[in-house]
Amino acid sequence: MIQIAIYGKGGIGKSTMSANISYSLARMGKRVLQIGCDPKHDSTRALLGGRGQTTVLEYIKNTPPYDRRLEDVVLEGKMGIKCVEAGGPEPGIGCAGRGILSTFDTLKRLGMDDMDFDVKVYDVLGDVVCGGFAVPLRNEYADGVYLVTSGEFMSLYAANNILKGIKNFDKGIPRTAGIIANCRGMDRELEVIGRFARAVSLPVIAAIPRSGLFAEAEARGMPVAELFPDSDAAAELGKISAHVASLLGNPSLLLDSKPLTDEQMGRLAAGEEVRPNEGGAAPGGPSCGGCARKKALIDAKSRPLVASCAAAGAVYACSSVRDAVTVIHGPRSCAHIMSSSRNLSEIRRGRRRRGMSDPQFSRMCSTEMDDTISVFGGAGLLEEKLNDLILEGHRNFFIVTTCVSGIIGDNAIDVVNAISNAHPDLYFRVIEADGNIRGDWEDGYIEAADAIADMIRGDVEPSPDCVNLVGERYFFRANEEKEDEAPEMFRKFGIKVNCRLIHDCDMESVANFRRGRMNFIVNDDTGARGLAKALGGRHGIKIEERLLPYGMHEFREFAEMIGREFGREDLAREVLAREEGEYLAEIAAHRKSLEGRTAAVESWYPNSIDWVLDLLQDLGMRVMFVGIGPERHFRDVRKPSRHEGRLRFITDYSRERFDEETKGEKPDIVISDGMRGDVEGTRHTAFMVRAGVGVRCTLRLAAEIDTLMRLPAVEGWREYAKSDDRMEDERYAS
Amino acid sequence: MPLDDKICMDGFTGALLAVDSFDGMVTVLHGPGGCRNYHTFMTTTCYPRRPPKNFKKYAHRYFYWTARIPCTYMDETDYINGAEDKIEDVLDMVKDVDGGMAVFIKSPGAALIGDNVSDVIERRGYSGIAMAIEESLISQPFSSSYDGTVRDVIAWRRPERGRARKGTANLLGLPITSRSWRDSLSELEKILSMCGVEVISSPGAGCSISDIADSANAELNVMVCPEYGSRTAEYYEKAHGIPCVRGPDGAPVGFDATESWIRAVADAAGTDPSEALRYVDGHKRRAAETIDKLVYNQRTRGCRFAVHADSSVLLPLSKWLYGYLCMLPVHLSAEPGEDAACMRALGEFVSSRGLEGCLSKDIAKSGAHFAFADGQMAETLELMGSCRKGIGMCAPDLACCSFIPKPVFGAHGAMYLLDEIFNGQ
Repeated sequence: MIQIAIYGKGGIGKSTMSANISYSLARMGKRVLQIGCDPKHDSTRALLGGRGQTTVLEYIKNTPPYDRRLEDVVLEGKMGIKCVEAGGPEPGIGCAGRGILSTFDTLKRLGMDDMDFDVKVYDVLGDVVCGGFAVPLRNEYADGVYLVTSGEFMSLYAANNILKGIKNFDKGIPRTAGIIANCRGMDRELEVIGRFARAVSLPVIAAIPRSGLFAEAEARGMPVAELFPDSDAAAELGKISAHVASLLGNPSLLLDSKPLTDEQMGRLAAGEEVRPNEGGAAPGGPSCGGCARKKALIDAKSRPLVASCAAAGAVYACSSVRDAVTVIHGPRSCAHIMSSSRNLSEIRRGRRRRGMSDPQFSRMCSTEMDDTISVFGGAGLLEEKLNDLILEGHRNFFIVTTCVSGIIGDNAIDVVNAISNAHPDLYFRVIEADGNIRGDWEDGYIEAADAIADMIRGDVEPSPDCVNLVGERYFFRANEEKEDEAPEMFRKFGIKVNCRLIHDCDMESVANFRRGRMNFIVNDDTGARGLAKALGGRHGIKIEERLLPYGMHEFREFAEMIGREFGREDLAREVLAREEGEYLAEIAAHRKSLEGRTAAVESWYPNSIDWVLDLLQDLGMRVMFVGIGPERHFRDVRKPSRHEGRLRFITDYSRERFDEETKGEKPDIVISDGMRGDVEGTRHTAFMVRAGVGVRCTLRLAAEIDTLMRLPAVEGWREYAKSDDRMEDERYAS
Repeated sequence: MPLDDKICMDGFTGALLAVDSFDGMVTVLHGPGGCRNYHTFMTTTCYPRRPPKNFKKYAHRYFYWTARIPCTYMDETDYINGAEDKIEDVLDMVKDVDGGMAVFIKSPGAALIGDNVSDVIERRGYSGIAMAIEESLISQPFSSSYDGTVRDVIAWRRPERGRARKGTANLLGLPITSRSWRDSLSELEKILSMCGVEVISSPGAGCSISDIADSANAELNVMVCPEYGSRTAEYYEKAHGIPCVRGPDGAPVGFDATESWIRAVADAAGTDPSEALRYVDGHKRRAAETIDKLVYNQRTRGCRFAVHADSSVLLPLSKWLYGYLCMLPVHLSAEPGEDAACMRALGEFVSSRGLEGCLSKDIAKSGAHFAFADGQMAETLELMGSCRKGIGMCAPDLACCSFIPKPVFGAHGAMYLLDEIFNGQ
């Protein structure tokens, strides 16, 4: 059995050639399968008496997997030729390359490999040699490739690009059969084609004259070889079939692919003779304009690693709005990851709060793109989903696109605009996050938050006793104290929180954002800073530089500022005195057991840790060093500490540096601002994940340090884990 | 939106976890990092294992400091140009890191761009230690994809059949997403051993590479959940002539279905089931004595229950709760990828008792006292006050870890379920 692929520029006559070659081979007694891989799906029409057939992609779109049968997509044509059409998406929708991949997958799954053939003919659109269109080129499918070309330069250019594609996939095995000249009636056309053939060291297998017989045969739904068997064209087509038949017994007739460089192609176009291998052949590679497949210009290792997904960040932000539904336009996998992660976080928080209401994950839904939709585009599915949700009574919608919709180029905005026109009273907003194409989690979060901020009305007057909180995010149980403590801290000053953008907010509170007199960033991270920048830029909303306070020192300044800004100096002094009293009393109690104990402090993120250093100082503890690192997290954003000069700071800090520094003496405790993992041989606490705001967060940390110091440094179970490790090491060694 | 419209796992997750269920296999995700983190967490929770040796050397680029499911971290440039260079790089790394075998799974986005991972593996001469699942995964239910991937991995290793070993079996269809699956495996191995059947491999549930080699010599395959094992069973049947036996009432969940499962296996193996049946009977007696001595031993009678599970678990569990504890089903729904026979039997069960209404309600509004579902849904329902007790039976269950065995299958499984029901009132 031999498999051949007929490649060439669109409209060059590949389908006509393919059908005629198949017909001639069948007449020679060969068992032939022809698969049309062109989205216009007319490859087999002449073999089926002018009838079209159900394409594989149409079939998989309309037929559930368990109902699929091979015989539904494989029709028998003239002379017993088996005919298949891959089909493809509507122009401008989906990914035709992906369609070819899906067709081959499906045929394989339905048992096509179990059928016996002498020759398989693939008719392939050759302008593009991206992943999908290259499928027949791969070893598994096409043994030999015929290039159909006319003497026109664009046709030769496409043929040369196909040679580059073949070179990419040939694995050093000759795969090129030769050139089929399909003349267009140009002057000295065969001479031009011959010059190209000589330059790429390929034979011209046949030269099909320009002839009206093809149009006539096509109109009657027959191959020329059948309708005009004695014509010149049929004779030339016979030469191709004979060549294919000869390959059956002698694959050594196949030749190496030696594409020309662009410069050589230019000379050829100018009428020059280009000698074979002159200056070396062009590298294998691209030809698809839309999805050209070439070596990345920037080496993968030097590109920053994108470890998260913009769509996930956008979905988190959008689903924080209580009275809106977030539609994740993509496969179920993406939506599951996002909703299940959120669900997990809510369960953990729900356990502490002994309940859960209106969970954020339940505001998410998916358009459930599957393989079929990826081929045909997901616009229909998005439209259907939105209409269903409208019928269910939902009124506000965020639509977030994933990488799948981004890759196939779905235009979610058009779909939403159409629905929005029909429902002007409903709210829709599309966030084109496109999975990780647009960046990482933070990028998606900021983009979505910025979009949500568009709801803020400009005509709302500030209320004298309201503030807004900006950029709150709570994962798992991290910072959950802060969630309650931030509004509680303002309450002590008689101030209400108007809007928490974007945490546990609704459309109305976002719209009335300007009711807040002052706006405070809650978590000092990239997302919150990005959101603050957007609010300041497009909306002209001032965000306080000062963060919510951590620790006694910052709280003093904060209380003074609040008293001044809100005209409540007396109340502020009263609050401050009360907090200071509580602080000093509790610190004195902890100091008894902690004075003189040693600590190493680690700062992995560029938040100020001065409040921790203040606390350790107040507790009388000795700080061995403060590790600030790694450098890439702190470049341009690190603010100097008030403790520099007094304590030893180590920059570009790492775990290795910790090991080095603590070789001689282990600190009694390592205090870190992130989930660092275990610290061997001593105690460890991660303060950021439990930090609230104000004075309370410092006292909580003091109590935790005190508790840990009263306990053994290492848990007993670790001994067993170590011995287990040793056994595993021995097993590996053996 | 109804809570049972919750977005469930699909074939992509199924394939990743299926590969990770094999000992000595490294699952490599060819896709973006955003698809990785959740699955790393998931697989570590379902099947905790030691990190590969030496992985820290590559920690930043492909492991990003976590050991499971290394990833090519595709980005925009890769979507445009392809990422075969990264695949080549990862192949070298996987070999160096673990000396184990690697299976590449493409993310939904990566599958679109047509990177030919198999081709790269072949070109680099790694066909002996690496393979790629090239099949599209996002169209498939979680369970079918899990099953198909297990089958593909086994077919890739090409186990050779020597002489069939009398009285041996492969246990199929037990996924690592089932709660306490290792305890379920021990329980079912114990039961089968009482039937005179030795389990020599359990593809999809902690099966090693040497177990795969041995699996072709089994006399028969024993099915736990057909959704997770039918395609694998077909492979063994076609390639090695190994027949497969399954329980007439679905998976061995609850006493009744465990007993019928035992009888079916013993019948197929030509062995005596009495010892295994006595073992189940012992548990039945103990359960009955415990319930009988409870002051309020009729507390479960008339209680309402809801189940959202794989069809082969849904059927026996519903029938058992109905008959054994006189509880009323108010919501029964199956995960995608249902087994046709189980769904047919379920339909007959509910219609013969006039309970058809329970097939369509929203689980959160069903008014169930007990909700049986995946761990997260069960706990969510409980926290939301939608049921008195949520009982988790499978993943996703990321908020939980178990120290006490909590298998769902076999006699121990029935005891676990009773424990949850009677202590959850």
